[in-house]
Amino acid sequence: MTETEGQLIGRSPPTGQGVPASVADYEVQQVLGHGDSGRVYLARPPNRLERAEQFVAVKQFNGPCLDSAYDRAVEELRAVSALRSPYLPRVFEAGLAGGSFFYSMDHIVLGSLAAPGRRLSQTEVLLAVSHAASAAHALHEAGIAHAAIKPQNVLIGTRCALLSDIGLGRYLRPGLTLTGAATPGAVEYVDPSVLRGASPSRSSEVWALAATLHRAVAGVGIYGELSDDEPLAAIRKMMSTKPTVAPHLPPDIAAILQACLDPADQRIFTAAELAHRLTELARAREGISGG
Amino acid sequence: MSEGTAPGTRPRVAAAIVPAFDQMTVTVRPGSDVVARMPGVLLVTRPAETEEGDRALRVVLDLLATSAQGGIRAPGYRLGRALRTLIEHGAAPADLALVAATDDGLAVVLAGAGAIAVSERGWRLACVSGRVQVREIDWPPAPLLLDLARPAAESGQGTPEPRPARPFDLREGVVPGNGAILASPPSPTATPELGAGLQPSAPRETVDMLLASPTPPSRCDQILGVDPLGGPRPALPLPVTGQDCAESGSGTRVRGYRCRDAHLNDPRALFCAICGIRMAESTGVFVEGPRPPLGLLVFDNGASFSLDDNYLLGREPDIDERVRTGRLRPLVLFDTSGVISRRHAEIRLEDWDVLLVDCGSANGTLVAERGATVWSALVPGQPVRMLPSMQVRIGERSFVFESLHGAP
Ligand SMILES: Nc1ncnc2c1ncn2[C@@H]1O[C@H](COP(=O)(O)OP(=O)(O)OP(=O)(O)O)[C@@H](O)[C@H]1O
Ligand SMILES: [Mg+2]
Ligand SMILES: [Zn+2]
Repeated sequence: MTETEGQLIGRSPPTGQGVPASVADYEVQQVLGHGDSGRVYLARPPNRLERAEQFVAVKQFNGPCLDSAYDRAVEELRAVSALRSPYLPRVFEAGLAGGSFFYSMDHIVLGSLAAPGRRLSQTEVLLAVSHAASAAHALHEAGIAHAAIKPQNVLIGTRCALLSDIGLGRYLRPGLTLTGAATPGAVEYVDPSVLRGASPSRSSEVWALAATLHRAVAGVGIYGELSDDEPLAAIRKMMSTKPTVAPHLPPDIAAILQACLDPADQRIFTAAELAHRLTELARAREGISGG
Repeated sequence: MSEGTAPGTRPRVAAAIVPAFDQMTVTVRPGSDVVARMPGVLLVTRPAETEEGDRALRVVLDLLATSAQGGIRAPGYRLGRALRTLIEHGAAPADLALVAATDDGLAVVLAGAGAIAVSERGWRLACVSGRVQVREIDWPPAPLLLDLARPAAESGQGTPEPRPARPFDLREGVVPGNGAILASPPSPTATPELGAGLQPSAPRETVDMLLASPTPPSRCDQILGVDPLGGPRPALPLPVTGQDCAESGSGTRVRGYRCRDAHLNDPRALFCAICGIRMAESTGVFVEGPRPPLGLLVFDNGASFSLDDNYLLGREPDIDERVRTGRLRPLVLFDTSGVISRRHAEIRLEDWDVLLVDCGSANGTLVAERGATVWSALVPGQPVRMLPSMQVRIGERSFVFESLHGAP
């Protein structure tokens, strides 16, 4: 796998592979991870931010950012922030550092569902995706589609899971349907209707939540293992075959997954309903009281 | 996650998996720099061969001694900051590398030629511009070397590493040496599994941290607690039967046939692009409707762009007036070879067709039919209709036109 690829179509990122000591005036401690659009750093917030947190996460996008895209991205982040959902990480500020877009947010200690900092039980996974679905629903009710639901964006907090990084690629890179191949298999979380050009919708996000849950509980994607080296083949497979729920999953989980992967008009209608069904399932399993 | 930063993701589990600093062994490489170990701290430094240098060394050793007093298990946090202040005031040697225990990892202070490295993982942290660097890192997954870069003249004749099998171990004290290695004691049973259960993100290549002085962002806007400009938006629509088809796009209208499920299709298509139904069954009514996206441009790195609008491809497409006025979308091709022009090629949607035009680029735009290996260059300014699965090459970049409304 090559280095981070991102908003720019290029083999090597413009930043080189060094780790900067700072992003703007945030003091970088380490890299938390990287995705298709850029990198996320653990950093100390500057004093001017007047935050009590010792550390925050700073997400910096690859490549230059046009003014119009900047304004749009800030507007979207504020619209998300105004929801004050406990299932969405707080975003403190956005800015330009070295010409690139960045924003700072809560640092979520256990990392993402894709590579959690400790082993999660199946019940915990059900709850995590349920929380992500609640976050998605709050967004949908406010007229916002997340557009980047995948395990890498479901962060595991100490009290609940959080859905991070609403897809800003739409504004930073218009037309972008799928980012590059830096994140293995990111394509498997994109509803084929979106690949065909539909805008992200409630139903495509219910689908993405199911694809996320499936990967996390089954350890395999709903299209099996798609090749990262042949993005075109992966896209073609997704557009020409139906997703399948792994046969080894417990029937109750499989039933919910199936109800999210059905044709759009037969799917679970809202992310809230999905959240509810997952919480019920989790409760039934371990008699825990959710949340 | 495969970033080359600190060795291993920061241990986020219980601190119990972090071995006690003072149970680690320290092997000293022979040489004339200074190595010091005290509870919770390891230092390598090169004080100047002057009285001032001696004084600076004593200042640092005093600091280490004080911080080790009182049995503090994790002197790292305070030491880091204190030492930085000393170095910045010229009171401590300008070249040093220090690690000190924190609750769940190590605090690192590097100044001047100071560097730390996990050779097994090809990982190295140094001060590129010589500024002081203080940060916290994970417990290294393998032996950690502290040393000072040698002047170029000496660097060829590297000091031989002490044999790892020999039980050398500096427990406490100050000795001459060119660098020191901090490692788990070689006991086969007692070695704790460092970061067990975590995926160590070991980089394959050496990664140097670059130092750039922190500068406030050129632009910044508070997000938390600031309301968006636009008022509340309507909620996303609930799914409605038959509405899963793509109706986004630039609003251009086209004429075509509708399939049984009312998806608008290219009149030349045999099958519906959305649901795959045979178009021969259609009622044959020629209707007008919003143009659905015509497909995707799939780049070799997997980035995909929806063909619901016109694009200008190039190194700096936003220099074009039509991009600035919103008539063309910019698609930046990142290029290290210098082969791609600022404005290289244009993708134009016309009715149901996707056209490709070379904008008089310096090095041309190459195309090849589906599966073909013979490439031909476009004539600048002359639009070519893209056929399904057509391959396009621009400099080092290539993409494929993945058609949805594939007319034969
Ligand atoms: N706020 C955060 N707190 C802790 N870890 C984070 C945070 N944000 C991101 N990460 C980690 O960094 C990794 C990379 O994040 P990044 O957002 O760059 O990529 P991504 O999530 O794959 O793609 P996208 O750009 O669509 O969000 C994540 O997988 C996660 O492990
Ligand atoms: Mg993310
Ligand atoms: Zn149809």
